[in-house]
Amino acid sequence: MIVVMAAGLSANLTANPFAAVTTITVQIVGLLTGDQEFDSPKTLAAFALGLVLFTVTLVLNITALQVVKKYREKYD
Amino acid sequence: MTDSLANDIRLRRRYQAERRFRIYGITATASGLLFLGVMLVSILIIGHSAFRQSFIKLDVTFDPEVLQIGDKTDEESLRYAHFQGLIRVALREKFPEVTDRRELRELYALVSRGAADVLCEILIDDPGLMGQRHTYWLPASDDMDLFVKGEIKSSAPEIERQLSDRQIEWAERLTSDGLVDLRFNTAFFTTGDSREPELAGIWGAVKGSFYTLLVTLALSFPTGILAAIYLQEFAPKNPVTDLIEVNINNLAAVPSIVFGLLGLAVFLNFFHMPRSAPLVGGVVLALMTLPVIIIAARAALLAVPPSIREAALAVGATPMQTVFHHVAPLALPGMLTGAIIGMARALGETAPLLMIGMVAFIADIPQGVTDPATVLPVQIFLWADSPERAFMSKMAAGIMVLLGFLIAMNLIAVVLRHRFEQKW
Repeated sequence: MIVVMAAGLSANLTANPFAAVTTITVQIVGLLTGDQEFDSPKTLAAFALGLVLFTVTLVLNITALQVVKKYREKYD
Repeated sequence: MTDSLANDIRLRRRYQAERRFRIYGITATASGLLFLGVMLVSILIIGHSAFRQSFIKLDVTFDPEVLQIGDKTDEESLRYAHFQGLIRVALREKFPEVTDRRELRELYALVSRGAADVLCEILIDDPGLMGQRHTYWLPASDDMDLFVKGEIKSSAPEIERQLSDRQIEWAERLTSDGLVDLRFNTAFFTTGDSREPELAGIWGAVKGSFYTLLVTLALSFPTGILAAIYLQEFAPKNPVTDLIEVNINNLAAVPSIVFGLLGLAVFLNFFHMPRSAPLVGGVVLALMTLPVIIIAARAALLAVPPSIREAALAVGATPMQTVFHHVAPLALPGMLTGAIIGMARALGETAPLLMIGMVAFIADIPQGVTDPATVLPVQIFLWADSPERAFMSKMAAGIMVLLGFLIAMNLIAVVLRHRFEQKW
């Protein structure tokens, strides 16, 4: 949430950490706060972004679980 | 000889490495504390002035002619009466030399628009005051308030401050006549949001947060505890439960805004639940805190030694009796701690609530879980976005209130853990 207040709104494809960029959360908030029809492209784009966030965390979590399974040592 | 010398050098290096590591650790902790201190101090510096509000002393005559209501004194007609006029007359009496229309408008701008409502309430409480003259302390406008608190400096060029030279002169005259007073701002703790900074209060948001958390707690605590007990004590170990475990871990890590999207799609669009209501906010936050509570409760159950279960089973208890008579009571402090920390997280959450419309401007104080409401962090977000300068201190004061609640909740969690914790 902090990014909504701190990060910018300019969608910028850059590797420079000092350039103004935006985040997925900011984009979702920007797309959805306001008056739109539920099936408008804007709303659907917000849901697509949400799906991306969900998938990325799912992949990270599965990877983490694999790592834990591989290196966990049982003592009892 | 050379051997022991090499040994000495190696020993000294090892001690040095120990010392360096300790210094790194202390530096990290100290810088963390320093940042925390800077944050708290800056919030205090910006926010302390919001707890005080300046009032102007005015002699008000309840003149039915100015009120434009004839001889009616029932509540209905008083609500529509022209109380703004009473304040204007009182101000004109104080500054008889001001006659120009534009100057008069600047003069009226020194008193808050809420002052008329204050007079209205006074007269409704006691209609016998009609026609009498009394002295009241009425709230000043936000710019006047900033001037009294010294945040608008008369030394700044006129174009760069919100008050004109004339207004500053009048304000200084009022101050030197002893007609301006800084008092504790009770309105901040009793009213809802407002477009006028001097009238805006936090109570609507506090009540909204309360109702939202009530719904969250009622839904997520029993569900979370039962799910944790089942998964930890009864569920067989197979690919299905593995999948559930991965999913719970994943849901605990998903950015909270995804839950807001879910609430928007399912609760608002499909079930047509009321928009901006604490009910929907509470359900969404319950879904968000559920995985946190489940994980904490499972960890607490895991910490209960197997010997307790074996002992209960050995004397003939059923698996359910074992869990509910012996294991769950021992794990309860850990479960409660997890639940309170989950609640504290829900209290500070903004992003999912933006999605379900709890970001609307709501001046009324919610009276139930289906009334439109806003919550503390969203209120802070709204104030931070407002252009009026006086909202800056309101925002910081709102942060203080929110931090107070969070500290209290976490303190309860710590105390519970210390009081009921068992060591094996």
